[in-house]
Amino acid sequence: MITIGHYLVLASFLFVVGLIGALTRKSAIIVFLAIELMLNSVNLVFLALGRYFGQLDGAVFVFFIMAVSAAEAAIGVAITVAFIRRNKTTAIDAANLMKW
Amino acid sequence: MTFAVVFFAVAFLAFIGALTLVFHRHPVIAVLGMAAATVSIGVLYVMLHVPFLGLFQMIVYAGAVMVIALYVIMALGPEESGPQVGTVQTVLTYAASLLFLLQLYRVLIKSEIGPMPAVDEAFGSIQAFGGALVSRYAVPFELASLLLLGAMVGAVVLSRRQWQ
Amino acid sequence: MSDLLWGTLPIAAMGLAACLMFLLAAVLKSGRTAGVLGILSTLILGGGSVLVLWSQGGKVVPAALVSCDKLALFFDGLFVLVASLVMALSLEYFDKKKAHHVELYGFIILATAGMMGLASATNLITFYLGLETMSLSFYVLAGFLRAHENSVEASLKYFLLGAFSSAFLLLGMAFLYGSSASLDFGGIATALSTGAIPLGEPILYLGFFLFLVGLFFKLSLIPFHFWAPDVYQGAPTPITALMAVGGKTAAAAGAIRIFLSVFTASQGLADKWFHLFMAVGLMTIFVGSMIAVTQRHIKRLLAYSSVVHAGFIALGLGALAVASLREQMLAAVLFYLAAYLLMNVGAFAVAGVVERPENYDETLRSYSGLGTTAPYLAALFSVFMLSLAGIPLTVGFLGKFYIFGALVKGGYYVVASLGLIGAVIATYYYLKVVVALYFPAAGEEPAQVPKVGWTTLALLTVMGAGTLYLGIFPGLLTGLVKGLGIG
Repeated sequence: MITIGHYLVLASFLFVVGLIGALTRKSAIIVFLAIELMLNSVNLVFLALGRYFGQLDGAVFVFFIMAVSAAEAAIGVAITVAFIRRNKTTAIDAANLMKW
Repeated sequence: MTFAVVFFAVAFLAFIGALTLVFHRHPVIAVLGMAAATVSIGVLYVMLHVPFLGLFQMIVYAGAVMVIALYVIMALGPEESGPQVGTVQTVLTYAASLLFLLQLYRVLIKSEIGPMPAVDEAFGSIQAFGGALVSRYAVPFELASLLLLGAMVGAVVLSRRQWQ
Repeated sequence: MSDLLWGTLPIAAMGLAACLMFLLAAVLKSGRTAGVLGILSTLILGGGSVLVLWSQGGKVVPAALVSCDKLALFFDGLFVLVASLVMALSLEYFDKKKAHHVELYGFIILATAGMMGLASATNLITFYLGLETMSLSFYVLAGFLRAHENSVEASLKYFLLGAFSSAFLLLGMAFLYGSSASLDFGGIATALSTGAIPLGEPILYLGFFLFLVGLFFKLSLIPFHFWAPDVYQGAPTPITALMAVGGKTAAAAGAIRIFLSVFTASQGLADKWFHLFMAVGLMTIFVGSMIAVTQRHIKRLLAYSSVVHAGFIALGLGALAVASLREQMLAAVLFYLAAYLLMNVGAFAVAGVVERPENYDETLRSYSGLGTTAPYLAALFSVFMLSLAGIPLTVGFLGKFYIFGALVKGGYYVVASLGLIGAVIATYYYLKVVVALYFPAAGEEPAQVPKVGWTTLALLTVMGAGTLYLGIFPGLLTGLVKGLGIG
């Protein structure tokens, strides 16, 4: 029997894996995808809760999060491309001109 | 029973895909891992009775976002970069993540969790969803359209090669 | 339907203005024309709708998922003001940098629409969308000086850290939803006050905590501040002013709204809110001041200064949890935010003027001796610095005074005295700047005299005069903020 708990456990694992990726990877693209993974796990939580409560609101929120993710992807790629043109790499430690 | 088997299979796949994204040194394979994870999560959406969001998930994430990410990586020439920031940051990250996971676990076992209630067929139908978007959620919908417009113009502004 | 339109009028007006500016960007050639049109449309559409609604005492339409009550309208007014000021400052700044692009103004207006959405949200979805509309515009705006690598880098850093912090905020929202089965602030409050929490209390506390972490990121409170100095230093200077003032005011507005309409419903959550905000606020004031003392780059110094100011705002936000202090403290925080707008936009405006066209971030050396070579500019900059430091006869002093006064009245002597000690430490690095202006180190060449255009000079004069006038006669502002958002 699959309960809401199963979904929440899976989502927490995915969130933490995404968190590790966002904090330890160097490539800006991979960091961005790891953050998207965190957002995906949040989506899963919202949908599972909405289904649990028998409400559509969770699904509507997920729809908007997806729209924002798509917008962020467009902007993120544009910024990364601009960054690459300057620095010839996606590694974010190239982005440490400014410290303290 | 089949439902449970499918759930665990898909969840396993999503987890493996996520691990691939985070730990595989080759960026192309990492992105493919993420694609696998997003497709599996999309299947979970279908199992949660919201099939068209599962479809969106596959189109938006596995389709658009992954393709863009792959495109950038390929255009740049895929360079290997594993999880390698500095020992201190890595250790701190793992410690913090472990603590966070334990905290989530503690909270979840204390939660009052029940089985998924049955819902009627109309739940999660595209009619109900569309109705909600244009009635109750009309204002956020408009705000989202503004945001997407901004993203579109912004992408052009940031990546066009020469100015004026 | 017309009700729905009324209830969302300021946001709709700014959204319309943003669309208009994006359309005009296709035909306009000169950034200056675009800027003037942007300022006009903001003042007419945004300012006009705020004034009209204010004169009607606000308009609350629950179905709109945003609430145009007087509190929201006050914030909307602040956002219109800061957006117009920033656009007016951009006219000369971006000309000087030879990167004056017509799209700039559309994004500033879009960011303002997002701030308005955030400040007036009554539902988690509108809260999130307002926040993201604002942040997304900021990511683009930070990268507008593409010829300078700091600008692109600031954009990338802001983008990655902004998305990262949003993930925490969202997980918090998801758990809040899980503990109340509602996305409406009202619905969550009902669930909290009746104790009908579907998944049990632990998940509620976890959601609350994660939500606060996301909020601390957006307010750039220590230890979640590390993005702010880099981003503020790298972004174009007028845009930095927009992010430091508008972005932070919007985050504070969102915090005020969600606290007043949701978390007051549960005493346990309100207590936690109080302790977390006090602890983080005090830490921000102390650690932020310590780091700011070591800074030599003026924009980085101002960035840490805005981090420290966020700490003072956090003390005020935390004290909202005390029911007996709520009304007084809310007025104090609103006063502080308005004061912060005047003096901080002024300080960043001077920093933008002093910046040389080819250089990107200036150290204190560029300011040495300006007291004799550019006396008027130096005098204005000193006014802003003294106000930021909280010296009497300036509006910055009264902002701090009201917050600490309310804390003392509530009997929180320890917090108030610790905060005061922090404020005294903070005075040091502002005075360091003033000293550099008037007493250049021996043997140091006097800095190049910056050129100031007449629009910037006029605006600086107005902001400087406002800083002093409201510091001596605060009645205008205190009358405006009195009793907002209570009852």
